[in-house]
Amino acid sequence: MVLLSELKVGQKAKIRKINSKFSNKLMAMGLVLGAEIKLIRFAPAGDPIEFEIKRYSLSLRKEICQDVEVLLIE
Amino acid sequence: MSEDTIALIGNPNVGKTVVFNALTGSKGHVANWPGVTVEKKTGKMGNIQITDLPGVYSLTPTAIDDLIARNYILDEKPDLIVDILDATNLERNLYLGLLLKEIGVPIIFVLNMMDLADEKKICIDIEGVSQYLKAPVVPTSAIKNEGIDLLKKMIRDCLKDGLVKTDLIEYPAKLELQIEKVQSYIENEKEITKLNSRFYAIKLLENDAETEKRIMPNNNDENYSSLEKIRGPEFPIEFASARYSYISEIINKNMKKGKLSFDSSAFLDRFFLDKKIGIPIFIIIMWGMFEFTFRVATPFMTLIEVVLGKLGDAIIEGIGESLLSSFIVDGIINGFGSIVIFLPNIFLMFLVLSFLEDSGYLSRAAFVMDRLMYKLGLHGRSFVSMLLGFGCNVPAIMSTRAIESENDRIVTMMANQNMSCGARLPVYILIGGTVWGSAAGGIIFSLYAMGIIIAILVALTFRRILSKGERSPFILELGDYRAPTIKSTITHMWEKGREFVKKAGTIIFTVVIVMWILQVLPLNQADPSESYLYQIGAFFQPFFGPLHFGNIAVIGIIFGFLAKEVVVAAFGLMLGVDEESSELGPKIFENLGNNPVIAYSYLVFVLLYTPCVAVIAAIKRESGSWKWPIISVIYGLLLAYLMAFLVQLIGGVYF
Repeated sequence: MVLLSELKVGQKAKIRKINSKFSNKLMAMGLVLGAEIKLIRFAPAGDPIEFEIKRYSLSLRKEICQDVEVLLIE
Repeated sequence: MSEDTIALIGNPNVGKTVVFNALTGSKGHVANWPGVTVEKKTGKMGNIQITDLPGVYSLTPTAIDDLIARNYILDEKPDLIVDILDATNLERNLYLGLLLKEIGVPIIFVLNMMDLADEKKICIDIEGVSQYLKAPVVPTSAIKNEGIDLLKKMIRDCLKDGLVKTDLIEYPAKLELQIEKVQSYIENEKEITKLNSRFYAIKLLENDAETEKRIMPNNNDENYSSLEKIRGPEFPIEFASARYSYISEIINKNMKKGKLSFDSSAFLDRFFLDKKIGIPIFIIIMWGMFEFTFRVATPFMTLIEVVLGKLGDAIIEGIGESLLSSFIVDGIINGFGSIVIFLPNIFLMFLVLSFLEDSGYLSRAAFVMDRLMYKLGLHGRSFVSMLLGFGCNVPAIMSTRAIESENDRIVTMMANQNMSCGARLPVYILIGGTVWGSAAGGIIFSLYAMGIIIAILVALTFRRILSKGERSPFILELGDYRAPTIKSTITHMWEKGREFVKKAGTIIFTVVIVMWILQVLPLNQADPSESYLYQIGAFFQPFFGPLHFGNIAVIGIIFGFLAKEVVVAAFGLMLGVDEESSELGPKIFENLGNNPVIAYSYLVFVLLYTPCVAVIAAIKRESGSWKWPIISVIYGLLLAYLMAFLVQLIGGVYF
């Protein structure tokens, strides 16, 4: 099991499970089961994190990424 | 027959406001900071009433914006909804589109930013998308005014002929079955119509608390227990997945994307968000913003001072010294001048902020700053509010609406008043210039810095007090950078500046006139110290005795509570000299015991004591109760008193 917060820069993964208080919001932003997500970069202070999902750029705090389980691609 | 109403809706940053302006002909507010269109804005297209709803990603009522938009659609029942989609970001944008389709209201989709989609080599089959959405789709490039006529025609046709279908989009059979079941439970409820029962059924399956409150307030009847039996944690996920898989189908069948040789946003982000230089760039941009604002504003302010001074002299010369000339010069021109003198600063500040917002940098600033702001008890988005506070705390407080959690919003509001607004600056300049001469710059800087430090401490304190509440998540879209057009930046600046002039200007003008009246009454004074204004100062002066503030300084404080802009004007009135007069500074200094430490402590007091009435009203409006504005006034006064006292203690005034 890998958490979204454990991805490295450039790694891609698929969303497996969301276990967050904010899951409705996250799903609206495109984090639905099976959606592909790629880590683009960390903010200069290491948090938040920029991802690419559904062909756009989304940034999330590490904290919330710990509530998202993913499946690494490749 | 009542007039037709339509509502514009869409994700943040889709150019919704530009479409609104194009349709209504009114100048509006274009921004790139997600969630900036927070006020309900209405306009007219012929006899059709158009409401611009806040930019939202979904209709889940976790943020006020979502709730405003959703309740408007459900309660006001507009005749037509126009959902604006960003053609360059169609996939995510369609999610809201599908949610709207679930409500079953007549809807038109607008594919905006077609010009940018072309640039990004995105090719969309409009007819195909329309078939999938079971609604008309109109392509536009609102910023270039392309497609607007077609959209206007489409809106009129739809309203006239009721052409717009409310056909539903079907989800997988398993979900449809459950929707139908829930619909049968709720059909007898008062607010349910045949059309929206589907929407409410889906929301109930998604465990939407707001819907539950609306539809099933007494959750103990038979229907509720039947609902409870079907509901499960899997439904929210399954609905979201069903929507996105329908969207994927739309995209796969109707959109082609060519290879881009150069992605300018990704390129710029390599610098702006870089690990090493991202923060230095941010600091340079902020510093540049202040440098620009103050440098460019100074000559304008001088010019305004000179012109108003000459105008006053001319009037006195023309009609002689009398009560009337005093009213015109000290009342009207002075009141007018107190507002106008700030316009260069305020407008330039808004100009730069508008530019940053429209360019897409402000969301990056939130991204870069979130870590620090979070540690300080704030939120990445609080950052913009704090920044706006340097211009005027009223728009700053209003901008907190984009923050989701109530606690984060309250903390941001409470800390904001310590950001030294433009209205406090003239007091610093007047006293600072008199006392420290060329070293005044450093003194003024120290006040701004102290404001920031106090804001941080206040944020940390309130965060502690409110610790039981949860904090907002940081879920922020980093939209593409866009070159702001001169027109949109200026329009945007004008919108914000005008709002300031309207809201603050009326108060300031009234306060100055009232001050003038208090100063001339009672008539035929043998000595200025007989005036009501002077006596008010004398009445309050004992409270400030321990701080050694003279009664003229105290009058400034009292009226500054109404509007900080009038502090200097109050000095002028009390001393019977022009606001622009070079005698003013030394006389105030004299009133502060000719002691630099007391003068500095006075400036500290002016920096920290209670927000002005316009800000208090804004806090009341945004927090929804009198509790927070009262707290902000009380803590401000206590803190200002304490800090001024400490300055004097450390400065050796008491020994």
